[in-house]
Amino acid sequence: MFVGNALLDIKGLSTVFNTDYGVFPAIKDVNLSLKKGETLCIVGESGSGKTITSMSLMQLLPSSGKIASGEILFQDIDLVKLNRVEMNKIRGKSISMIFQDPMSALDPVFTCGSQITEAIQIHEDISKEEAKRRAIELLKEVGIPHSETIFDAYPHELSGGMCQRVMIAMALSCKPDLLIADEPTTALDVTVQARILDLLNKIKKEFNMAILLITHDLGVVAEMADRVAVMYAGQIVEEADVMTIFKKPKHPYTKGLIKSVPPLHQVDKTLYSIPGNVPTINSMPKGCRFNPRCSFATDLCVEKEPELQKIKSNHTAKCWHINEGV
Amino acid sequence: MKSNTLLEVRNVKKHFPVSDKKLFSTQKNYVQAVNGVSFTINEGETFGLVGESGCGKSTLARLIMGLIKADSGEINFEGRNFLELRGRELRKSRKQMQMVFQKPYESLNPKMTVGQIISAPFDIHGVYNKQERVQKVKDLLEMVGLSQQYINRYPHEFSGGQRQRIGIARAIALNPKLVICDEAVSALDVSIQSQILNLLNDLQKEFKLTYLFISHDLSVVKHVSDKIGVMYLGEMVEVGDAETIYKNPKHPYTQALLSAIPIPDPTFKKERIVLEGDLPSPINPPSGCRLSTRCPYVIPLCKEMKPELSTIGSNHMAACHLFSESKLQKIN
Repeated sequence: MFVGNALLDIKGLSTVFNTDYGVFPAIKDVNLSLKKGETLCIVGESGSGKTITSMSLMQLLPSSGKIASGEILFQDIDLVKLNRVEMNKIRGKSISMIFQDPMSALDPVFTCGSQITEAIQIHEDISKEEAKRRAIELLKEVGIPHSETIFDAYPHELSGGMCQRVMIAMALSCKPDLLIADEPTTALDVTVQARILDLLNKIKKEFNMAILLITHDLGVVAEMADRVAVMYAGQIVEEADVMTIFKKPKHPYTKGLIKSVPPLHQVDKTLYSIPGNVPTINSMPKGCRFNPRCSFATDLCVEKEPELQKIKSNHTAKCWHINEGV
Repeated sequence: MKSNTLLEVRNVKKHFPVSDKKLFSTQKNYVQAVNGVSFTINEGETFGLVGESGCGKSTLARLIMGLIKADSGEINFEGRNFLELRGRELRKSRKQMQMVFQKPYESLNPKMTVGQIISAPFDIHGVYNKQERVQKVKDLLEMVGLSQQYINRYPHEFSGGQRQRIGIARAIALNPKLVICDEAVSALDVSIQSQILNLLNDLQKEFKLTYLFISHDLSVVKHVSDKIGVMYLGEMVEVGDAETIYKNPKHPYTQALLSAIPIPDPTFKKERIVLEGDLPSPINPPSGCRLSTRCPYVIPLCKEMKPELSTIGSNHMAACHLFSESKLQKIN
């Protein structure tokens, strides 16, 4: 469907965290690639390493975190090797990001407009008036009514959905090639969520952007994704196009996750649930990281970690028992 | 079937005063958090309450619990008006209703052990002696799927799902009749959420509990509820059997809300009903029907007259002028 090379290619990315108990890998051997105009969803529960992956990509890790190995090739430039000044030129321009809680991601002491023009003027040498004109245009683009008034409004005067639109306008200000959206609708109500998702789809087409969408909501995944990567305990356990993930999942974790969602069109009082909890960073189980919670686990799973195996082109899963139809 | 009604909420109102922006102004505005809500819950059933943030769901829960005082209306619990009870009588009734809170990280006292947390209701109501209490706490832990050995641990040693189990154990400690779950699973991951939902379901069967289940997650509410009430801006807009509400929603707001749920099935295509604009401020809500500023089917009457919650089918009520044809004709 897409021509040309991958826009983003993450190869063997591992990020470690320095904690009081020692150094532990938060994500291990993550491989991802993303083409222009494509939406890739990373789905997983809290603590599975979704956000660490995106933070590593943006080089916004906290001081205790460090990329230990791997490459992040963005338009054939390895982001890991860039210094701070070089990274600043890419961050916010070619790659931009929207965050989970729009209310706290905007600075409360500046107007929405000044925050957008600031983003534009950092990356482009244009006059203040020109930047303002662009900002108002962007606010219109993301569906904000009375955009001239909102330009001078402070974040606390706006609702959550409006703030998220301002965030999106800011992220779009320099026409990025890649938009990272980290749980963009988790803090919003369903009706607002529906409109923000529609907006993301609209601007994706208009700007021909790639979107890396991080979420835990499988409904959002089904609505937005072209491809899906399922993460568990810091590793990608399954990756495929959206149809395959929902209709023919192979990894027991993916299957469990899909079955755990209360179905809307079905009457069945007992829900499927995955026993146990997501392991913490300092107590990763040996072998396959899912084995303590997996009902199909065998001795092999406890002893040895499975590789990410190819099932079909564009469908990989990290499990020993793919072919046995677990 | 009047006899087995456990809770009846009738025309309950709660308006919070907010001060004017001017410093010495004496004029007061009111946030109309809950504005004349009525519904009933029968024994042993689960009533799901849905709506977006700011619609008054949690205020309603707190009113029922008696944590805040209602301005007017009646809350009849087992046939007695809860708002008129005082002292010992009130405490006795309170024992019958308990609450499970949204945030399992904040609703447990970090300085108390699990044993102390779960036996707190026993202390307050002065039931059981020391040995009995320890045994009872152990039983409760077992019931909610935790090990008895956890009794001397502190909340920070547990994960979110386990903490919610502790919160549930505390809520059912006194064998209440009604348990109010205010967003009890919203803070949990899907795989943990399903464990807790199953636990709530098992406990309901075992102890014949009645739940008031509040959530903004419509698929969760659908899963647990027998009856559902939909709230918008402090008012109940539609009440009915869970199946009916989901299969045949009548009120435009319910329709929009349901069509906005993302379905975890990429082959599922649906038409979305979009509500324009944002939620109006509850300080100065629109006159007439509160949805009239955003409703796609708005007619002139909606802005003039407030629709009453009226029966439109068996066990199905909606507050919308579009369904009260007879009323329409009367006015014309």
